[in-house]
Amino acid sequence: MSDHQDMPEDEALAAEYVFRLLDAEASRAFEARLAAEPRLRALVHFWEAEAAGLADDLPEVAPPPAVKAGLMARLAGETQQAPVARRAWWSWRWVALPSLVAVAVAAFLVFAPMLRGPAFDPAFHATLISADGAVRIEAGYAPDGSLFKVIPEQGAPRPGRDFELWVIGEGADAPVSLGVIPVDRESLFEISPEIAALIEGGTLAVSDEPEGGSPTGAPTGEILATDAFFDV
Amino acid sequence: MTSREDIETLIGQVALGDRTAFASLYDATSGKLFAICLRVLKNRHEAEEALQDIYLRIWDKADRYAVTGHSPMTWLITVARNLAIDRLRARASGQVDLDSVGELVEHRPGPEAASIAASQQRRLSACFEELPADRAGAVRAAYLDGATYQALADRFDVPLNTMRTWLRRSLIALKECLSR
Repeated sequence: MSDHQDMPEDEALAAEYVFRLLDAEASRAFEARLAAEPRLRALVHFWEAEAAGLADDLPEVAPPPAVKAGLMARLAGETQQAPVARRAWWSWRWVALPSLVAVAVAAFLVFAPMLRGPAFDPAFHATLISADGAVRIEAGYAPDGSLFKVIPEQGAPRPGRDFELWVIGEGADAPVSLGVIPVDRESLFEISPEIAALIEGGTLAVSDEPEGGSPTGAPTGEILATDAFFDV
Repeated sequence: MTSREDIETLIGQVALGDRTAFASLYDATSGKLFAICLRVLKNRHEAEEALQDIYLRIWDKADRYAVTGHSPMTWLITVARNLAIDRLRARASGQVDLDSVGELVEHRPGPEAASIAASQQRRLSACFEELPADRAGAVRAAYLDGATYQALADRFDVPLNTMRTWLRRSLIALKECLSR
């Protein structure tokens, strides 16, 4: 039993435990005490509840639809491999604008080799060519099926970097991410109605981002090329 | 808008193995938990993987939620943060230079689908304002970035023991203020 003179010590210790500031050994020692000391458990409970409030400082970021699709697949035991694979085609993601945060976006990936859907018939096109000509990417959008196709013709990001595509709606002030694109193969995927609505009159852009894509939901690296979507 | 009661109900249904409720719980709360993953891991791909692991953990542990005595968002946030930090600490590369990472976009106040009670938020903010700015920043970094004492000491350019003393005092002062 601890007496009251070590109360401030325990209060700090419980907070350090919740904040994950203790090293492994100290953390284990604290856990051993938790089982026997209700007062410590109450302190941990207090800090967990209070500190969670700090997470409310973070604006919500909608995860890309592929994450949910993979999650449900894992749950169903349909796959044993990590569905957010280490390959770029799982990196498609959408960062919802705050107004769209609550919108459940129903979109999923379509893999070209397994494609059984409608033939791809694009109504809008954009061609991204960097100033030095090193990067060239073709993109098309077919409203039928809301399919978006990306054909990387030329260029690759530097090691440890990725190319990320963005759509900027007409008159919009913020680009919306279409995700990191593979540069070694074509990709075809379905986009959400919210993003589809930005395409007509909108602009496509590609930026150079850290591996895995922009951590902020906005381009952080150099914009390599932009092009207005044009009607085919 | 999903209320606290709605989320609590969904967790209860998930505890019974209801996948539809699980999908709804994901839709209602994944924006918040994904933001936590991004903040801790500073890498989208890893954050996406972490988010899946987090929801699988939620699926597995939903039947234990009630005994934690926490509000639903507190429970979800705590599960998310702990798993994200586990992943961060497991990273071979070790040190994350906090200053090299762009902050997420600014917080725009507004109705949030899933959040901590507003009264609790106000109290927390008020108590944070009583701390010196750099110490409040250190406490936030410890929680939100999963920063270690060493990382915090480097970031604020103070000796390790000084940082430890600072932070412990700050935490005790916070506890005192929050318990008023």
